[in-house]
Amino acid sequence: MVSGITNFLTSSTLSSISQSTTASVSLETGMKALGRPAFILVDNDIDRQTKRYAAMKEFLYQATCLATYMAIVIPIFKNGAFKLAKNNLLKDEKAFQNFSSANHYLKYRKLASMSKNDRTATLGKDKYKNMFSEKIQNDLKNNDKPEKYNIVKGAIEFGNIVGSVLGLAIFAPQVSHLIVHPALKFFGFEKEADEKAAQTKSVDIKA
Amino acid sequence: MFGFKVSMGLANKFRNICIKLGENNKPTYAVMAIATVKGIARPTFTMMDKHEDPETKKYTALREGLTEVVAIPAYWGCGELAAKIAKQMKVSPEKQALAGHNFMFLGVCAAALFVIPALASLAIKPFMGMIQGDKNKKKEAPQEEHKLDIKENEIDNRVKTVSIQQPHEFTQTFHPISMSNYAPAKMTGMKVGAPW
Repeated sequence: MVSGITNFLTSSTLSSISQSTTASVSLETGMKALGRPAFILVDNDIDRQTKRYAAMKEFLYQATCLATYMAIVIPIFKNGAFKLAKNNLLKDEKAFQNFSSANHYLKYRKLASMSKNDRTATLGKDKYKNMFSEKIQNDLKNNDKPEKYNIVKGAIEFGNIVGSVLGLAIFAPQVSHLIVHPALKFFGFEKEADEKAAQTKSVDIKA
Repeated sequence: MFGFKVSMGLANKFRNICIKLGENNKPTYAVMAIATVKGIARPTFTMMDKHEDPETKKYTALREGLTEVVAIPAYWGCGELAAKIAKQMKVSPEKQALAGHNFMFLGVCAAALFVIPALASLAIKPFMGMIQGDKNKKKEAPQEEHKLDIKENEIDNRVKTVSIQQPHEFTQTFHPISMSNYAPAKMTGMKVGAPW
């Protein structure tokens, strides 16, 4: 039991998730989508109807943000930052010349993080045969600790952070504002509010 | 020449940031950056929402802003605290480095899931209650004034009925000017003498 927990806490898979901005932000947003509504529903100081409305609104907001983030922000900013660094800002850096795209580099990095035996076995598979240049293939096969080209990883992560900030703080809320109100109406959460507004209007006319 | 130096400076800064992020991309960097921009952008967008009532908008915007203000130190604190716990683990240095990252990530997740909502309800609720209390007090004062307005209207109605039902009549009798009732303007302080 204890060794299982230790293995989980020191696992390289979890470490690669925690080192990746997109993976960690996606996981965290998913947790928010579940955790925040749960906290609202547990609160005893708010009346039942308001709780349900606020919890549903928070869930829809976070879920829309997550969907927008995964569908639009990740692909655009990840590849955009790689291309910007390779062709403009860091065009003198030789590390970038070994890779054609962000995904190409990330596949290399995944292999470079493996043990030498696992790496050699994986490189033997058909899909990896022509994936990398001869120099990179040799590096992966012969070195215990191949070069990881951290500057390439950093450029991708920089793009991911900028994309996460712009996406989750500016773009996704706009999309969610467009979706949340119709969705709340669809699920019947904004019906009562409309009825109340209608009642108030009729009273005003009589007065 | 100056532009070239600026672009070289920017490129060098970008290179340094990339190297640092590539070596060690802490999970706290992204979430803190997001929380900072969210703290500014989310309340702004809420205030721009035309569907909501203005009072609800103000309340929601303030609550969202305060949540992010609480979130920034909470993310940093939970991440760093969790990473310190990892140092207590008796494993090889390599695994300890991995554990440090993993603990920091779990700390950030715990902050997002438990710590920030708990802190928000603990710290923000009393603060919002305080603001709402002040608003209620302010609301009570105009209501009293409104009651006074209603009384004034009642008087107005009475005046109206009097003016309609009882047309004005002259009750005073006219006295022609004579020496007994004449008062010069200098004595009375008036410019024109009046007969009374």
